[in-house]
Amino acid sequence: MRSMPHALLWEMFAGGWWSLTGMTLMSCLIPMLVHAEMMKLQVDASDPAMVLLQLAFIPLVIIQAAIGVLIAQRRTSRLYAMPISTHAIVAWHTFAGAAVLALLVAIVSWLLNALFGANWPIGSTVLFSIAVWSSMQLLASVSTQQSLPGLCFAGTPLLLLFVWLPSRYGAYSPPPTHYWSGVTAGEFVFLATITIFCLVVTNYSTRWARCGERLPVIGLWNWIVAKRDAMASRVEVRPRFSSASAAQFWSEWRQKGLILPGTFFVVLSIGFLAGVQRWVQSNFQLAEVYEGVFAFGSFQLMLAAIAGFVLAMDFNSEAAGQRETQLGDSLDGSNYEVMGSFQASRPVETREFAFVLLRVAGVSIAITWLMWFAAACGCLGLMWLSNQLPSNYLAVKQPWGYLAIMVVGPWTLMANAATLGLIAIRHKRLAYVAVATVVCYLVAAAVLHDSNVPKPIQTLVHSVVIGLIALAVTLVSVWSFWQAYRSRFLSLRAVATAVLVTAVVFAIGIGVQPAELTVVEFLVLIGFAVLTVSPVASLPILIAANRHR
Amino acid sequence: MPEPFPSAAPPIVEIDRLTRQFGNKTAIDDLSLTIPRGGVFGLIGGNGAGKTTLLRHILGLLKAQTGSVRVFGLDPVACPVGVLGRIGYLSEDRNLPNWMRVRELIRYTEAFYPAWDSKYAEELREAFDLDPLARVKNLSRGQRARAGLLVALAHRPDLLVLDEPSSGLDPVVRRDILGAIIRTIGEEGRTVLFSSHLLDEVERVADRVAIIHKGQILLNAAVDEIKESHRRVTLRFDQLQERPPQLIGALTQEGSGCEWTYICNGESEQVRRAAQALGATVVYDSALSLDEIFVTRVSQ
Repeated sequence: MRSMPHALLWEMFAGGWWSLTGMTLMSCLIPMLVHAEMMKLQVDASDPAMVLLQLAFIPLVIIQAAIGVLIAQRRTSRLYAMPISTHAIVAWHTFAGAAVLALLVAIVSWLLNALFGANWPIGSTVLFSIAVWSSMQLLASVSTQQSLPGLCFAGTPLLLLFVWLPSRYGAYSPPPTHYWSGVTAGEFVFLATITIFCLVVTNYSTRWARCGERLPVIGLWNWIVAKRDAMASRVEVRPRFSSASAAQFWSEWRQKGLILPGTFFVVLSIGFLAGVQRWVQSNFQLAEVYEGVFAFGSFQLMLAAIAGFVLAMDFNSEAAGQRETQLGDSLDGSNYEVMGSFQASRPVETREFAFVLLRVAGVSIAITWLMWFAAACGCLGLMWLSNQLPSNYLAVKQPWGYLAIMVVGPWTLMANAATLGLIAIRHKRLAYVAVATVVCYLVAAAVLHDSNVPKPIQTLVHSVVIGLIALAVTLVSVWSFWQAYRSRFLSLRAVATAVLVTAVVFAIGIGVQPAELTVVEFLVLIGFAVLTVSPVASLPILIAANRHR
Repeated sequence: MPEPFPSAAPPIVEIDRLTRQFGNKTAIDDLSLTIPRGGVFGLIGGNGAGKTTLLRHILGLLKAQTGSVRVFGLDPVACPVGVLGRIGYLSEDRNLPNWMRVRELIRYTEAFYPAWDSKYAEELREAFDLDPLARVKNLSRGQRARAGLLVALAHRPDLLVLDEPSSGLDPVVRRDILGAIIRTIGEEGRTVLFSSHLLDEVERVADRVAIIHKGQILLNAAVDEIKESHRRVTLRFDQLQERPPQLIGALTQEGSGCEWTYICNGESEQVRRAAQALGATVVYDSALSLDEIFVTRVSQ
């Protein structure tokens, strides 16, 4: 390599092309899924719903692609011992990353426009992504100092950008009215100011980190922590755990238990505020607040899936992952993060580990659901006091189906996301390939949609694919149960209970959807029913594979 | 009364024809090893020799691809509770839950071991000078090693497995505390298995040593036996020798002309007889340190 920028770019592409490709594919997965559905419904690009979708997806696409670039770039600290000035380290990390991210975002926007007739403005999105990248660099730089106030300070520009973005779509007089197609001089100056500010602060932060110093704001934080610890020393330590399982549950819960309830609380608060805004606009009709709170309950599904992936992680696995790489244990060439040796060497049966994780998921979901229920009941109480009780208490078109999905859905998503997370952690490339397959399928579907192939044949193709996936899910789940039983992770009684639960969920599904089922719908319903119990079998198998590699 | 070392009791670890590959790299190559019950067993080898991989098989953290591993007569993968419940383990990477405070770590670990000795844990915490309120993530490398050692020791395990225990410990702690602990456990009739590449330390505390190199055991014997069976001898020949004459048991040779120095595997008398057979006289004969034996064996 003749120069540092060459070396950094080479390193980013040579060592991180999997994360760049994988995260970019992941970033366009959900927009593609939704746009494919919108295309089926023949929604026009000028429809306000499409504007709203773009507003929701732009942060998602940029952040996921930016995470891919961050992973590919690796930590800045590896360059601290090299004869390079801090300015150069920061500048080249920021500029090279910004260029790659801008390119990725432009490609994703172009793909969505070309395949699904979306109206994604490329210029403004790319400029916005550069400002987001700069603020993410700042956040990544300060995060190495592991300080909450430092992170709050460093996260402010990013937050500001995402609060500012909806205003470009006219979203503060809901609903959003137009696309952000042209960049004005004022907008350019705003984005440039944020970018430069973040660059300057990142430079300071990196300089401090390079010399082993800490940001001044952290001194104050350390003082608060010292005071808190002094107070904590007077409080007696918690009583002994009744069992190893109880101790493990405490450990898992303290790390991951509050992720779902915590994030749902934030989302519910936003739903409440949105409801209040509509309440003011609608002549103080409390039904607006109630509907806002009720509708935001569906976010439980998305948040449960994310929390499930987090549930699969062992936060102390990094060192173990590095260790395995030193040993040359790179089954598929990726530096996967495995169960840390401390966790893996606890004298606990593997099935206990799995049941503890499922218990954490169950309790998290129960708390989240109760939070939602309490908020809805609170609104109903207010409506009762003001004599505004609604005629439809459940505030949706298919109330019982919605409630059934809200009960079973978060569990199914969270537990299965944990299962998928365990596979993805061990085989990152397999996860990327899976996502790439889905994206390819969506691209093929879009091409098919615009082709001359008759609609009934198109429907048949999609039905066959979906039916096959449902069948595969069912067969893999049955195999998991057989393996779990053979490996003594599950007793015969547990297997019988799982079969019974599957039958009950299937019966509820039939009850909620009383119309006559097609073969594909039948297979999908069975697949869904099986998914509610399959993590009971698949989790211990995957944990064992991770624990005893 | 602790049993004499090596014990007549069934071995604590039995490894039979174990092979482990990571991709194309063979980390353990058809390795067989028996670790007797009681005493201190040192596993020595260079970087990447396969020490950690071997220890992880003993703990069941790696599954045998071929061959078998038995600890206390059990398969550690099939019976993790039966095996790990009797083992105390300090990993080389000091992998501990970073978010816990020291006292939480102690209380958490206690729940997994019915034989946990709270009084002993507290004694160790004080001896190791660990602040109970400190978070693990804020501990220095040496303090992390001490915290890891504390939770590995406090249930008085039958088998203590230490992977590079000295790494990160200062010389005082290493010599006084770690050395004392290892010796005490060994003398109590329990077993200590530790890996290290600090050979002076191994020589000081271990009763028995295995040298591992490229995934194979080169040597497995009591320390005294190893030292007695390796000698450096200088032979003087009557005539100039262009090449070193072949001495039975010679591992390496260097020199020129009439004087050649050999490192031999064999007792002093055997070497002397072999030299006489070549028509040479022994002008210098000395024992080797473990360090020299290791270097000789590994560089062959």
